[in-house]
Amino acid sequence: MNNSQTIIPFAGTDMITFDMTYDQVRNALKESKIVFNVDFRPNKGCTPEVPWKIIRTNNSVSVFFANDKMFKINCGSSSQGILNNGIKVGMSIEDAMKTDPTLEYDEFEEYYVSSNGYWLFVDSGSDTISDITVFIKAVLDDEIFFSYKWC
Amino acid sequence: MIASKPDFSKAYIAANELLATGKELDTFPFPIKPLIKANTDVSLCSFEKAKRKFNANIKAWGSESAVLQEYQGQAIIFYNKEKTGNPKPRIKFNLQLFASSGPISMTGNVSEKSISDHREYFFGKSVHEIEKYLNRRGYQTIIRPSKNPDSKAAVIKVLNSTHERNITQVLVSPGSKRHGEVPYVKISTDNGRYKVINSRPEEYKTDGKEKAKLFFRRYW
Repeated sequence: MNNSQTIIPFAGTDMITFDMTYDQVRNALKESKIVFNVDFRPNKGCTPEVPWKIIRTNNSVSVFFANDKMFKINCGSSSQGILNNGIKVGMSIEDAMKTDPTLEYDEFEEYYVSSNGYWLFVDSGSDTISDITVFIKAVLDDEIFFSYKWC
Repeated sequence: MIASKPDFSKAYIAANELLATGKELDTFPFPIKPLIKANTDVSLCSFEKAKRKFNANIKAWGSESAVLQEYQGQAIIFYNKEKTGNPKPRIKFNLQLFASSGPISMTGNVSEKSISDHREYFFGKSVHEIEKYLNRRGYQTIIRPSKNPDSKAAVIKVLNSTHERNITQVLVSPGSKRHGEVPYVKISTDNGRYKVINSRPEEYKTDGKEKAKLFFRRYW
């Protein structure tokens, strides 16, 4: 996973795509000599209680799995991730909203949602994009997503 | 510790509801402790125990019989065994006291004032403890993880909101990169959002654009 990678909504990134399994992602990272660790989130008490495995690379890309199915990729501050519409990590949210007028702020969870299939998280001090998240379509609907029937 | 003055008119209605529906009431007169344990988060402590274990003179707070106090978010009824007697004639008084405690009324309603007055109630509680509290107030809920990729926060989603039972969801965060690693609880209702933050204002990072009403820990 090199720097300045392209992020494509509902598809993945240059290197990681949503049709890959957990083992395939690990092997791809190892072959590219990318250092990573695996984080386990048990989601105890959630309804239903589906644990997540998260592969986190040393250049702040996180790949989320539920029951070995990849559902979300997050490109953080040192990933230099760039969306196919030009929005990238480090850009001001004001400029991003000019590029994609569908961006709306979710006041409850404090992130920006695009109807084009991605989320933006913003650093509260600088108002710049700290994270870009893409996901599978099931994530768009809370009821479908949190039932994990797509697993 | 904060002395809190009960709202007796509200408490009287809530206490009567409990009397009518409490599963623990199968005899009369009934023991108060199981009822309080099953329906509230309020702790009980006798004047004598407070003196023996903590060297606290409860009578100094101005009551010879019973008093409700809040300590680090935990409501405690201190009662004087000598005055309550056996069978306990002060049951009605105690019911009124505990029914008026905590931010959520017995009918499930919260307001800006009730959250502000009882903000410490949420501090130090896990998402499951807060969910149980909601359930005791009639809320049907599920828990789901936060969507924020680095957050360990969880969201309690309410499935049966009404105009009276007005909470729609609650986010419980142990701290986040965005807000400076301070724990907070965000309560969304049908007419506003409130964030109860377990820190001083200067420790909390914000862009100043938050629409939620912020309530910080009070220090005395």
